[in-house]
Amino acid sequence: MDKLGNKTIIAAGAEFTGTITDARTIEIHGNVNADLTADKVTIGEKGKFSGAVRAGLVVVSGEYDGVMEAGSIWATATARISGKVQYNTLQMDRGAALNCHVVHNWVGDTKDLHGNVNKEDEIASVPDADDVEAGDLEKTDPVSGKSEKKPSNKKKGA
Amino acid sequence: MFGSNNQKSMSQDDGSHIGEEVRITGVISASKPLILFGQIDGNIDAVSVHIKSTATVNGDINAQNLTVDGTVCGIVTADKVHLSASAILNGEVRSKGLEIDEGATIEAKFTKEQKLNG
Repeated sequence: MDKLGNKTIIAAGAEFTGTITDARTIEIHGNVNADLTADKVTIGEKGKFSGAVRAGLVVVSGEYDGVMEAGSIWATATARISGKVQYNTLQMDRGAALNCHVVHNWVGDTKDLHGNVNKEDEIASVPDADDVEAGDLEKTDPVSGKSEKKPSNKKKGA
Repeated sequence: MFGSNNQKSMSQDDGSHIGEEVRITGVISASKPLILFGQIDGNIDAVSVHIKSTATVNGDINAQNLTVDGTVCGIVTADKVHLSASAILNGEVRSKGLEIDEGATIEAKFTKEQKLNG
């Protein structure tokens, strides 16, 4: 019961739109369009998530589109990720699709999950998500030296 | 009644589940049972909804089966509604079948509806 109460699951067939905060562990097997703050996020093989994620650990087996800030990201073989990811550690399984802006976040403090991240440090090293507006997508990315290829279907945080 | 006390262990296929410290703002719709322990500001549309005693819902609920142990503020539309002893309900209930346990705190308008969500 307690164990059940601490876990959040969006099951297959469920749809959610909005914001989710303070979720410890969340599993997404349905269709979610949200801004999410959590300790651990799992996007299941059939799960679809779009929106911003801030989490300690994100395991992606399904589809993700949006801006992700995570301590660790594990993209399994079935993962399809687009948008932008900032991470400290990244694991990719063979077959994972990463079509996104990837930033190794050397200085960002992703351990503090409740919105008190030192933004100054992040901005000093990487372009902030807000700078990558739809109009600026051709702009050369100073980190990777590549142009953004991603079409501008990215959802901005609500 | 109405599958309250359904405490069997749950896997992902059994339905959606919103944990206790979780706060959600927005709309949720589910084709499988939905069990809430956390707080939701927004509308819910699901086949079966169980609002546990730790849960709070501010918004309208649309379901076939609804069990309330927690707090609900809004318009509830369901074929079968069960308000348990710990339920707190403010708003309106539109239902075909209604069950209220002794001790429930209710301030609501009740309407019996013949035709609901199918």
